[in-house]
Amino acid sequence: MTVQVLVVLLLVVVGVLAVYTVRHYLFTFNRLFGRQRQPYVDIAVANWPSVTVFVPCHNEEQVVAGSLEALLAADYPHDRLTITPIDDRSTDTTGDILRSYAARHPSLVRPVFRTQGQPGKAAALAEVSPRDKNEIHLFFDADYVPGPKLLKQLVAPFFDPEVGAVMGRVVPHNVNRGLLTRLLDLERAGGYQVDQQARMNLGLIPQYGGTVGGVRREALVSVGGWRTDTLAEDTDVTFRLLLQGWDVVYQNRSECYEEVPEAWETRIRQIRRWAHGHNQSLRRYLWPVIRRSSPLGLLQAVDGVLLLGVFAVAPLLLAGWILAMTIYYLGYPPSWTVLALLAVSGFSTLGNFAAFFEIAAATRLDGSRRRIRLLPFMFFGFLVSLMAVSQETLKQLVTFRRRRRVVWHKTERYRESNGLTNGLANGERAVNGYAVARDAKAIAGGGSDPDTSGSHEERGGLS
Amino acid sequence: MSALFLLALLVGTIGWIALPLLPAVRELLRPTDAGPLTQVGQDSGDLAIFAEGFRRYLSSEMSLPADSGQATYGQLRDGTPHLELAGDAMALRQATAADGTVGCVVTSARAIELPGGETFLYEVCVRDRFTGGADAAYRALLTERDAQLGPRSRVLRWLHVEGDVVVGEGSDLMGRASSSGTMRLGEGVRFTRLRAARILAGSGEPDEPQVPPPVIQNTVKLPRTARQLRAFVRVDGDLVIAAGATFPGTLVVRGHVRIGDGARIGGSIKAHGDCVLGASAVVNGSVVARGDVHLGASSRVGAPVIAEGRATVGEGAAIGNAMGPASLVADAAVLHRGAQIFGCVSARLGGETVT
Repeated sequence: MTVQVLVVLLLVVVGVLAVYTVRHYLFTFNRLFGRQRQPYVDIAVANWPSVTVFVPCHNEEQVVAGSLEALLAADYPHDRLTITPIDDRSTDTTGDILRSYAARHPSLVRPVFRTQGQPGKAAALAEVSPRDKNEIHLFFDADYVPGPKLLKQLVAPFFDPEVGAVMGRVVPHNVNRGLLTRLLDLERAGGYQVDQQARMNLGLIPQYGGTVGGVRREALVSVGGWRTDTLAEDTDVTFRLLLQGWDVVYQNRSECYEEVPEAWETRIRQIRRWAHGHNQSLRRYLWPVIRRSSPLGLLQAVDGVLLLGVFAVAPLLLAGWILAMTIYYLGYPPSWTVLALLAVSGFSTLGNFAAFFEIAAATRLDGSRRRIRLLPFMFFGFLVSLMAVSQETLKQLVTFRRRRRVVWHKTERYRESNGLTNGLANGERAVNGYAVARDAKAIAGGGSDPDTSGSHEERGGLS
Repeated sequence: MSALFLLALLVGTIGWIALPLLPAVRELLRPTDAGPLTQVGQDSGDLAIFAEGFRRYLSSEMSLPADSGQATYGQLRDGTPHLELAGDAMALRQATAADGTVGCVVTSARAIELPGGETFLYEVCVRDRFTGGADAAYRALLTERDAQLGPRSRVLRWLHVEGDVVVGEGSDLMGRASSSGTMRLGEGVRFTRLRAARILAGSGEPDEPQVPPPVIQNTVKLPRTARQLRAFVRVDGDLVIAAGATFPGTLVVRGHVRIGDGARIGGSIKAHGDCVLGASAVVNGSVVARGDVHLGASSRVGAPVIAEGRATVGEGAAIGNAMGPASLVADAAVLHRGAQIFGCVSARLGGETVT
């Protein structure tokens, strides 16, 4: 009887994992062969609405100047732009840096200094953003360095009256710092280049990620503003907006550099925080998503459940391994041995490969293929994430009844200078170089816009 | 089983497991692709970006005097062949091959009028007024004053004009085309991405649209499925708005929507299906459709038009105005005679002007 229960549990685990496997393949094939939806990104000219860019900061002296410089260089009309850094009790020189920028750009940079109230990003946003009356609120973490065109790109989707939130793509810039940063670079590529864009293509649920994105003020007010009792205010607001009938959209071509963790401890803290917050959203929104009165369509609801449950998969996978080993050592012979072997080997071949396939496809779409050689090492990254997420999820389950105060662990910064701001983010590479035609035959035989050829399929590149 | 066999088995197994790790270890120890992705900041929003790059390139690479008063053949500093015409179209002959191609960067410090039929394998830069002949093919063309392209011209990569530009009938603008003034497109012009203060299809001179007045009164009878949400009214299913009706707010229709002739919408309108505006209909805000958009004759839209399918801009219809520029973004676009767009047009699969 015990063995039979274990087998049923194992089958349930395998079933869930199989669903996620199918999802990985569906998204990847959609990105490779499907119709790509980026309906708003080409809106280059418009009567732009008033925008406030919020930059929450806590001890960001290493990076915040770079972020502000990049925002000041944005080509958004300055009479419709406000930059509001929120200093949340920094103990380093962040406050002085913000004051200095406010003094130099009084009409643009209007910092807010928090000295009391609940600490953390969500609490800071909840306190400050309702006071701002501009139509669109954009958000960047202090280590993010937006390019000059990014603000317009992120605002463009709001010309669609149904859009409540928009998310751009996050691209690591400190890739070459070690194995971890290189693995995170691959992971981010898979997550944004494939997952998020495929969701956008398929009309599913692109996730608002809390940074390199924005919300319509009216939409945010309509769902009750930012929640302070969650560690994933981005996931939380994504689902509240969707459940109130707003759209959340993703723009793959709206890229922004970020700094990824360079130390495993930082990474583990980060992913545990994400897991905790995401699981909070799972608990809150699972039922609202699947109930009949939900405004979401069937496919959106399925995707919503899978998205909400994504951090619950890790402990499930761990449970599957333990169950399989237990059943094996109990000497249980399955009555359908050959089929079971085929299923296991088939899943091992295709199922385990799905996430790797997704990442490989992402590097191909990025036109940066040699980094794919590191793919086998992703297994170690997955193992670390698996253990960290499982630990956090189990801890949440154990302490479910206890009401704990939400504690925000800030991600450590590593940047030593703002050289990044002075180079790539200003788009220098985009305009400095120019190559005239070298291959005369190319033009005689017909040419093409560099936008629509080769690895520059989705963006402008050098001529 | 001998120890040797066991050892061989062990080594073989380890080798088999390590095999996929070899390129990984090599890439880790000797990185070949460890830089951040370079796409960031290189967005394609600025249609004149290549023109600006080419200007800088020319200013740094020009070895000939900017205007010596006579045609000169030479090289740019990087060795690229270069012909300065100085307004002398006849001088083009010395750089023209037997097959009619011109294999050098061509510049002209003075106004120039070309006979037509040329195929420029390299860029052309004219610092004054430019008049091209029929059946010419340009890799890229930059003019610092007004320009006119002859009938059936082809621009393969980009065109940028600091002034007004007239594009002859039957021309192909394959890449980006931008102008700081008015861009007038003849009949049968095919394009992908356009940007100008005013884009005008056809040869007529339609009135410039005015900023539409706000809509105050609601005379639209909405179906029972309509729900007033905070920012808009949502309608499940299709919606037809009667001719001459007015609606002051924003509508999101989860089906197709048809706005009757002369009807006016004060806010924006979005359709999950197709969106059709009748003749002289006015939408003060944006028009968004997951399907096709059809703007009827003389209709007006005050903000961007976004169609995930095909967009048709009817005769005399206008998107944006001189005070409020806007964009037309669609998979495919058709501009009828007299259509005006004050801003940019992006048609991923191509667009065309028709009569």
